[in-house]
Amino acid sequence: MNFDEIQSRSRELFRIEATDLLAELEAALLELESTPDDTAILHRVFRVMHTLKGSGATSGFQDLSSFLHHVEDVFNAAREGRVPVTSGMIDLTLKIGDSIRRYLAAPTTEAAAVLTAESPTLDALLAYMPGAQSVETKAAATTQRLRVRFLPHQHLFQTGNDPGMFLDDLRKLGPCAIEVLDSNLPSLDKLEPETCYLGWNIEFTAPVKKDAVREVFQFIEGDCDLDIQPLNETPESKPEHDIATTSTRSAAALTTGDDIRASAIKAAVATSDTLRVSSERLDRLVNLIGELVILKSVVTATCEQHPEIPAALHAASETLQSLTTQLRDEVLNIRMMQIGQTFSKFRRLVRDLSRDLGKEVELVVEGSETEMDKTILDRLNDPLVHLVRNSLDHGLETPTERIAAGKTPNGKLRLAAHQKGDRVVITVSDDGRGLDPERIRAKAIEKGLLAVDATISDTDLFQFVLLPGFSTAKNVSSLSGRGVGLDVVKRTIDQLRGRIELHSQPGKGAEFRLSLPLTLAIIDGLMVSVGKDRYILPLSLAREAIDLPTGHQTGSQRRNLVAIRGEFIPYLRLRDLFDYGTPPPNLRERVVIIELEQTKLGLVVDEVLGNYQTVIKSLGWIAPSAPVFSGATVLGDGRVALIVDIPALVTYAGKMPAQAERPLKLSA
Amino acid sequence: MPKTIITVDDSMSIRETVKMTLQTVGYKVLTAEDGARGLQLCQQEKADLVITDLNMPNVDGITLITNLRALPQYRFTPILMLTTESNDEKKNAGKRAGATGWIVKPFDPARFLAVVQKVCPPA
Repeated sequence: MNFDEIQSRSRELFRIEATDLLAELEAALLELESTPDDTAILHRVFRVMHTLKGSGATSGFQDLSSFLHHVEDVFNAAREGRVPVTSGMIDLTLKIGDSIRRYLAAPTTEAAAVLTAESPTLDALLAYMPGAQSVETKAAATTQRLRVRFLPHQHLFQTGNDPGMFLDDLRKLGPCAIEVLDSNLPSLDKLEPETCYLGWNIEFTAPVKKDAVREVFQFIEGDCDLDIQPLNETPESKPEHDIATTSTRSAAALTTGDDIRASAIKAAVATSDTLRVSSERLDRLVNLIGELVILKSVVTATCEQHPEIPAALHAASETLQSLTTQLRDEVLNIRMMQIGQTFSKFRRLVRDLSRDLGKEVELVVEGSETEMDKTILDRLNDPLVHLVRNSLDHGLETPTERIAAGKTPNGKLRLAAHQKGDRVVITVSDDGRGLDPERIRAKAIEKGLLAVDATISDTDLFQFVLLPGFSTAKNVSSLSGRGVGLDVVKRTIDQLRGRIELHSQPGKGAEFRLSLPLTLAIIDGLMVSVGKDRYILPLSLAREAIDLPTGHQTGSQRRNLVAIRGEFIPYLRLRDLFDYGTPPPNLRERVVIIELEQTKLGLVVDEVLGNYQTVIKSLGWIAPSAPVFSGATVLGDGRVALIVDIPALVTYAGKMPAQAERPLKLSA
Repeated sequence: MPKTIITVDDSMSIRETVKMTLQTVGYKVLTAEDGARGLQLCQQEKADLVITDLNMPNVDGITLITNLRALPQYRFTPILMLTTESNDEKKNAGKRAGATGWIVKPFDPARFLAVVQKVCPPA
């Protein structure tokens, strides 16, 4: 690696590290805001800031480092009890955190401008510093182009100091031109090698802070003459100097800093025992594993069809099967991320938004450790933001309204997650005014979506607010009034093969319950057949498969129930539901018993073919016309099997006037 | 050849902290627990940097610095003193005795290393 590569790698590493640190800083600041006297948290804020500053400087972000230095000063003062922590201070620091994010995202040429633009915020923050100090610090905090004249006293070497090290430090502050002032250099016969005769003019080509420059020389304050002057702001204007007494020397030749940095970076990389990998690379890996799983089923299928294949090959095929399963699980596990990171972003949102709205809201987060596939988590962010905003905007009342309603002045917003089988359930709930079923009902009838005399459960009724154009109507429910409807949320959740449910009690609050698959890529499936077609049922929902007792074989118009160990379980016949129009070929059909949210249900198929590792492929544009399928998969022999979305199938069957009577048209 | 740093402090914990911190970045570190032994060690082994506490039993840090500067091989060697922020008087006494600079206690490793690497760049 040459120096440029090391530097760019180092900057890249810092950007990644800074993202984490900024998130931690934000979390700590928010915590500090609620408990301003907690010194442990104050120390945490300080430490994070300090790390950010320190790593920034080592990674070539000197301007950021010197900017942060002043922020750190304020928190240092707070840490030493010289300044009380106030929410105004935290506000400003959060704002600074935001601008650092922008700074890091900006192209190198524009980054400095981001910080410069933020200097009013910094000044405002520095105003919190104790009286006399604030004015001075404020002046020093503003960056300007500086010219430094550094004339060491003759005895400098006797203090063990070397002028070179100060010049090195100056170069770290920012780009500068250094020239040697050698007018005091005597002729060789009079030269005392232990005496320092030289002086330097240092001219910064970018703005730096006077303070930072002074700090460089703090060891030799009394051992040199130091003159720091702001330069004329126009970069073109050359400062005057006596050409006869100066000679310019390459500043680069004076520094050995490059080597230090290279070794420090190598050490930092070597000590880390975790590895950061871009998610695109993981996606590619998952795709490849998907292909491998399909290839594995080709091998397995071929082996099964050809008994003449040597036994060794059969054995190898079985090993291949178990290895691909392990490999698949390992890789999918890498993609699992805790939902806490997603949740923690909401602290800030809730804080800022509730303040804007004049509401007092307490955010409760539960189940942060719940893990989900990264792809799903990423796409979940926007729907969650929408739901949280929705709760804050419309669900939760102002303190006055709450007191009038006999509630505590501060509302509660709860974000919770837990795993349930192969799904993760995420709830966004509040104790606000809730949804008004009567108003939703009236609106649904008005829109022609519901018969006047229809009986419908509240849960089903609430689904209407998720329809496009429904929630935007005026005064329908507490959820209305915003230009963007909840239909956007529903669409995203649908795309993720998730479901969304609403629960509410008027006056007591509302709950949005999202149920999402753990992963999008591969599931364990149960392969079944109907006629010549193969279908995949999610194995996680299947409990057992039995023969359909005789007497059930004819497609009955009545309610279909099968008795298993004394329990009557309703069943659906896929053959009828999917409109095959032919009788089953076998004497005995099979029933797969599915357990869905504590309810048992049977699905009648021709044959149960066994477990199948299913690589989910999207149905793409066909999807809207095939709502009961969550995707498709390619089988070992090249055929396509559809993956049945059981909850959707149940909903579909339930909507039909008589069960299994109106067939589903598979017109794609 | 790694550079050699001699650190002189009567506090075992500070000595060890300093030693460990410096070793992580590749310096060779020798320690002594007071000014007298520090001087002895510095004469046996030429250090590229000396880091000394000021308040120590037997021979204190200021005396050690004065004695070291009197040795021809230590005339230009960087010497850092460990001091507490409140103690400007000591700091100035140390500077007069010939100290190169100072490190304020308590220090955090990053700042500490920054100062050390400034006055004594690793080989």
